[in-house]
Amino acid sequence: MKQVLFVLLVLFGSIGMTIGQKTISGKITDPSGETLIGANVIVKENPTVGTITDVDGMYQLTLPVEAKTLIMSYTGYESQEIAIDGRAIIDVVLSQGKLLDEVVVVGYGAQSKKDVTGSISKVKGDAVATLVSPSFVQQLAGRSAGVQIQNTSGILGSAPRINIRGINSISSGTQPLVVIDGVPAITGDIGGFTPANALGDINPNDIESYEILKDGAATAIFGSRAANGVILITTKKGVKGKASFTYDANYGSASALRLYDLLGAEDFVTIQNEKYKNAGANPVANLQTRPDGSIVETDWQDLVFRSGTQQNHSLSVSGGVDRTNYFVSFGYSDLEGISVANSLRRYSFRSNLETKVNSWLTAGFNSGVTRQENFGPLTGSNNLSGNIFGTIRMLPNVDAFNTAHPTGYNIDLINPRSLGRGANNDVVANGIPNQLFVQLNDRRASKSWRLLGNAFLQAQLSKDLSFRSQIGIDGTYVDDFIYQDARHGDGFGANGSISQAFSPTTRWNWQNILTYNTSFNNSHNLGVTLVQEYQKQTASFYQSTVQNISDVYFQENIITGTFATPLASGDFEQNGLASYLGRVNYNYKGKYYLSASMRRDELSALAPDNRVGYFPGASFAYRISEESFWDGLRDVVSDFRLRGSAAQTGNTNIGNYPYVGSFGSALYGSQNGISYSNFGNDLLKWEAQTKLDFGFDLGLYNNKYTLSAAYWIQDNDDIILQAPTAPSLGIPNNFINQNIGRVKGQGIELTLDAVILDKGDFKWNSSVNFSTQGNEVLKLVAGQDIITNYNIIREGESIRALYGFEYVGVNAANGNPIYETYNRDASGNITETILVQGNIQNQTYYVYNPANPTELSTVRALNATRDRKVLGSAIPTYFGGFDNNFSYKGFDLNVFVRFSGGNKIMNRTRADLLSQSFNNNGSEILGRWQSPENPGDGQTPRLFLNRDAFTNNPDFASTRWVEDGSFVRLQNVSLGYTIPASKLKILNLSGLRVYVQGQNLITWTKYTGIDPETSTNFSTSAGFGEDFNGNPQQRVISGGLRLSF
Amino acid sequence: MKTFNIQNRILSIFFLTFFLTFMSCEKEVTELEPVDRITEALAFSTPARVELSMVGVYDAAQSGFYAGGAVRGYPFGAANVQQGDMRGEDMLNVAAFYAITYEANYNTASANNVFMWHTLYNTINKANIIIEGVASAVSSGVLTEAKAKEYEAEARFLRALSHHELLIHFARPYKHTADGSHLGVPYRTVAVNTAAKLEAEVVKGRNTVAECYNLLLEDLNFAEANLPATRTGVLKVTRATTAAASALKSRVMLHKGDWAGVIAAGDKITGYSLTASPDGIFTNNSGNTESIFSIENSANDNPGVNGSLPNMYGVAPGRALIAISPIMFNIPSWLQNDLRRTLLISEAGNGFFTKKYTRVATQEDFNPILRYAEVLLNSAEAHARNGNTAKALELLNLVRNRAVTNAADQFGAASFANAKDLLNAILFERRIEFLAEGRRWADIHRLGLDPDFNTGGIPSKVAFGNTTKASWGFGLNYANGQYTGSRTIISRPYEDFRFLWPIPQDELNTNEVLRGQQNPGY
Repeated sequence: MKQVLFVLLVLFGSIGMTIGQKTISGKITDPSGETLIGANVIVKENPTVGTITDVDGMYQLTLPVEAKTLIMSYTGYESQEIAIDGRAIIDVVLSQGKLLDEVVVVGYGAQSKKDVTGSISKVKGDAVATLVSPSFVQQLAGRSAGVQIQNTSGILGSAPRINIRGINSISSGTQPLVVIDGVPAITGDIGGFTPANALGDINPNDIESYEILKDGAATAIFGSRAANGVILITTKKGVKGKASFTYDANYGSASALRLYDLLGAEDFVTIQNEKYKNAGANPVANLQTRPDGSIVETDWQDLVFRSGTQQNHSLSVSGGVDRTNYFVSFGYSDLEGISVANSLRRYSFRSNLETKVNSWLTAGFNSGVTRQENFGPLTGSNNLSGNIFGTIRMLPNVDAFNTAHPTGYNIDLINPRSLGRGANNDVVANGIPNQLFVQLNDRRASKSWRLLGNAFLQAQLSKDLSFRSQIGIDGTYVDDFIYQDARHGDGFGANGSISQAFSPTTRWNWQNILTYNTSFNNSHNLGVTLVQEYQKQTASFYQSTVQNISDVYFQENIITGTFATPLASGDFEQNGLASYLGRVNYNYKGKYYLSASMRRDELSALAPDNRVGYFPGASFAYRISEESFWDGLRDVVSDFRLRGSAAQTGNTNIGNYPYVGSFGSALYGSQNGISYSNFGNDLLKWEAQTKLDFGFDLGLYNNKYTLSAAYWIQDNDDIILQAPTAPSLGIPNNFINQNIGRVKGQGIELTLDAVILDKGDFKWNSSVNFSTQGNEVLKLVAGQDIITNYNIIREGESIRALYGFEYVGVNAANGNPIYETYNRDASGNITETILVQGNIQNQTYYVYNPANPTELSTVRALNATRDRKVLGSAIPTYFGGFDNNFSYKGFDLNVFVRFSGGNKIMNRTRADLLSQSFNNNGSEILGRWQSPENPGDGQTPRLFLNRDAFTNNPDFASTRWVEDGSFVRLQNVSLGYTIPASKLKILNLSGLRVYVQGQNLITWTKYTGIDPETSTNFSTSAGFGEDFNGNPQQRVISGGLRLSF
Repeated sequence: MKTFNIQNRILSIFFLTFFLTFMSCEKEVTELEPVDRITEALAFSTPARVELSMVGVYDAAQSGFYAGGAVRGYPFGAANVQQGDMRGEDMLNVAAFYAITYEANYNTASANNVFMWHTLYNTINKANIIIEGVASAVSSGVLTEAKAKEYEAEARFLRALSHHELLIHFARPYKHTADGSHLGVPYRTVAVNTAAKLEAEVVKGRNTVAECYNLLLEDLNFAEANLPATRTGVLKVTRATTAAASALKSRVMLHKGDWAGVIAAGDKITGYSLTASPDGIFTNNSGNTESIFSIENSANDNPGVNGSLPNMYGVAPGRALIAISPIMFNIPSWLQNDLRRTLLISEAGNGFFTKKYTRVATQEDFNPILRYAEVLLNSAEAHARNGNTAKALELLNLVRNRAVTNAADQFGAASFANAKDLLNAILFERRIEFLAEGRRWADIHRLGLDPDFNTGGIPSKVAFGNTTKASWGFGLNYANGQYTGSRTIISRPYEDFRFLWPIPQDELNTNEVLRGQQNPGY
């Protein structure tokens, strides 16, 4: 703190020492005539003398005797040096910077792109604004190197996963920090009963740019929150001049990219009866014939999926008058999901206002208010009413409706919890409910208000020194609702239930930023930033659940007096962060760059002795192309720069009180209690991540082609690990939070931008990005593997690699599954492979004798400790995107392809589709072994009722289910036409573009599941790469227009 | 430039005020104590908190976590009953839900056996933490010595109950070796709440079964001596009492084959009597004369729709996933006019179900863990084994005649040719009386090597897929006391490795000692 004051005093003291002699004044504008406010004017010969332009772009300066030349500069524009030549008035037009001269938002400030030393990807808001999707996040996928975005479900409210430069923690958070207009935002899924993506609150049309900070140099300034990278989002601002009005609309239709391939009625009956027959039981399945002689056949997927209409509208007005500029907007989205129970509606309002109070003080108020209403089905992978779990099991030989049941749906008249049995002798396995009834009658909603805003005061203390104080609030206020109908489904047992929960999460963030930027001798450029930041988040919820409801009529809300059983619950948690940080940037003539930063963070989630962490960062860059010896090359290599950085960052995403040994609430029937709930660890300290990054930027032929390349290493040490403990010790949740664990990642990133063709009216720009990410676990608690159902964390392997058995296939002689088992030496190396066959009849494994395949004599277990091995990486090892923009006269065409690969997926859904219970199956089951003469596909064993656990072994991964997850996806094709301005004059419009586009059009993959990106399990404590009854992805075909005047 | 100077002065005052405000902010954002949990240091700081912590151990016994987050009544909220029944042949698995247990198809990762292990040991550690906590509360003057002993007794009762449940699933019965020297389970008596204790405990392997029984009885003797004789209100049934300790001791002695011990434990219990009607304890869970110890469930806190007894066993609106097997339902020696047939069975479209748990909408049925009828039948068996057939018959009739009210059907001394016949009747009476209460597996287990009454391991069972409503009928498919209907779920002889559950894979992954002590065959 003292340092800040000291700097202030020194700077205050140094002002006002110049001796005036002659004044000069003038106006600075951009090429379009817009005045530039706050542009710098300094005297070249005495850089301590200078001023900035006022709101009218005017400046006035008293010149010292030595003054001969003025330097005019403005962020994002090219600086100009102008000889005074005795003039009293000099007006200047500054031109906008070249390609490399873009302004890039960085942590706590902005820099010219050519001066940025860190690894930052920028995506312009317009690139994604017109794409129909539930949130902008989905559309960032494939658009920048090193940033992997995985859309894991076609359910509209689900939050995509964002991984910047791989996975950097084992038990703690892996998602990046998102900062919106300087305020760290709440991200992730905020819905309780149905997913609601917090970032879906942001209207994509309001976004000016996204900057993705990847390496240490760029992220170190965010210190403890930077381990997973940072995404900075800047919303639009008004520009001085006449008001402009923009209207965007698009309208589209969404359909499932792919659905499950299920059995029809006839195959179903054959397969089910074979299950029974092989188990020695009486067949139960029968085709049902209607009175008119037709056979009942129901395509359940056709009933529960649909093609949904989706529309977005966005209106904005922006401009600037006098000292004030403004941007106000309204957005409305109404999206129907491809699941009949899924929809999303969003209303968003934004108002960004900035005003120059006087020559030195600017005030700004940015606020966004969003209402998001999500409805969705139950999607639990293993819930009897889960939409995929249920749908793939619904019997195809019964009707969905039945007038004999009071509800009109086909519900079993004997077992009212179950789908009706039709002509079958039994109900569906586990008596699961009619999925259509569930989706159309049970309702799950997450309705939220989001308030995201900040207010700031910015004072120009001198021409070099400015101070900004900003307070930001991010609040999500979520109302969750679930109604479960009394007549059928999950609400049947409780005679109807309604749960309502209110979950407010409020985060405030206060920053004081002091920025000092100066140039001297016209060659040394120095920038210093000092920041204080405090943040506190409070999250709470309270929930009421009522059961035994008097009448299904009362289903919109909990109504007093309509229920017999009231229940309540709630919780309250907080966390906070106090930080001080400083950064120094220096460059010499735009040739040599040095930058260093240091941040001190104090985090409430750690024990008092370990709360404080220090996070340093440093970087350099060397623009070789500025050297004089480069002169001859400059026609070809217009820009060449080397850069590198090193930093330490941390991870605050470790839960709120992980170190506290504590007793949580523990109700026993009607008796209040508390019980041991967390194993305390006072020694818990910061996760420390060391980031190294080396790269170069290359511009060819006047930057017609640019190439950026980077190699990065992220060494994550002292990772907080939920180290598993032996369950027989009875430690709560069977883990201890410990700082033991080290994971190292590295990768290469390449971005190539090229103007491929520029001939007259025809232009073709192309951009390719390609990234690799590798990852290795270096250290674990006592070297001990951490094994979850399908994954392993093992030293020397990639994090949470898939882990399971080697499946050999089906014994053609008897239909039994064959696996490899091993003998191992003392250090675990395989010394011998012995095949075993699992005898389905008595559920015992025997050594497989190829000479006599039906021999069942030597028992040898398939042993999960001994016989499993690593089956592949669960994380893609490479990914990227290929973006092409063509234009011809008024037409523009965009073709965007992205790809990802190198990973394996545990296709757990496939095991479900081959279930041995009385329910529907995937068509793969038709390849089952039937007899030695008819051995099927060699992979699918003999059927046997209820022997899933033995026949399919779905509790463990095996090479039978683990598949290659590589894919190439034609993500977007859009064709637009911009109507020439001349024709718009009559309509008084300044711009009109109409377009059609298709998203998610084609996917090329060998993966046999519903989609290689569909994933149901990604929590850091569970596993990666598991696809277990995931929801299909949507394909959207839409058309739209953008008009402005 | 002069204007700058004036501005600066104003500003510097402005900023100084800002900074000072902020300095006081720092503590407010970083020194945050949880408000939704009590820190370890405070859990035993007042008598009221000690009481809350004690209740917390019962909570662990009632609603441990299944598969990460769901509460399905593990271990004693409901799951011990379901697993105990599904391992036997008298109840019938209707759906795929319990198929793995029912068909003995478990592996080291199958959820039922894994979470039984997890939640039982979780209960045990919480009990050990109470024992350690009350000792510290005595030394800090929060509790009297006497009160501390009472809490310790409660904790040791729950510790014994949990270890015994582990023994019947994960270890061979006491009689497997002459001296009980075969592997039991690790008997944990140390509170594991620090890194040091963790390291010391994890190297302790499985105790022998004899050691386990000695420790069980030590715990129960302490509990018997220090628990209150009775409690008031709902606590009389839902919290441990002297009688609960004695009743559990009677059960443990029975498993050990210490007949005198069974009788002695049973004789200590006073103040309890059978309810007038066989459904008495089910219609009134907390206010009856027979329940000695039950796990409490309430509308607010219960094993949920996928675990609660009324949902799993009850007909619609229950989920009716466990039926009474025709093996038991059809058996003619369970007399047709037995009140337990008329009062405690309900009929559904696809079979017959128990009516012991009926509160489907609220799921608040208590889980009966120990009741007086069991004590009587334990003693009856012990007397019969010791040759005191008269006393044995008297005790058997106490239980049986409540339901078999027709004098002509009641047993007299002449009903049995010898003690073996009488014992057969006593053992059969247990199957009827405790049907759908999860006791079947415990009996199959302890009788595994009994020369006269063993069931030949896990008996073969009826597959629901082979039944229709017509498969149920009194006397149907019975000849010479044997069920002749199809029993396609094959039997597993006592010697089969599946007679025992495997130690879970995650235990093997994290515990080097137990990795070498897995039950053979897995």
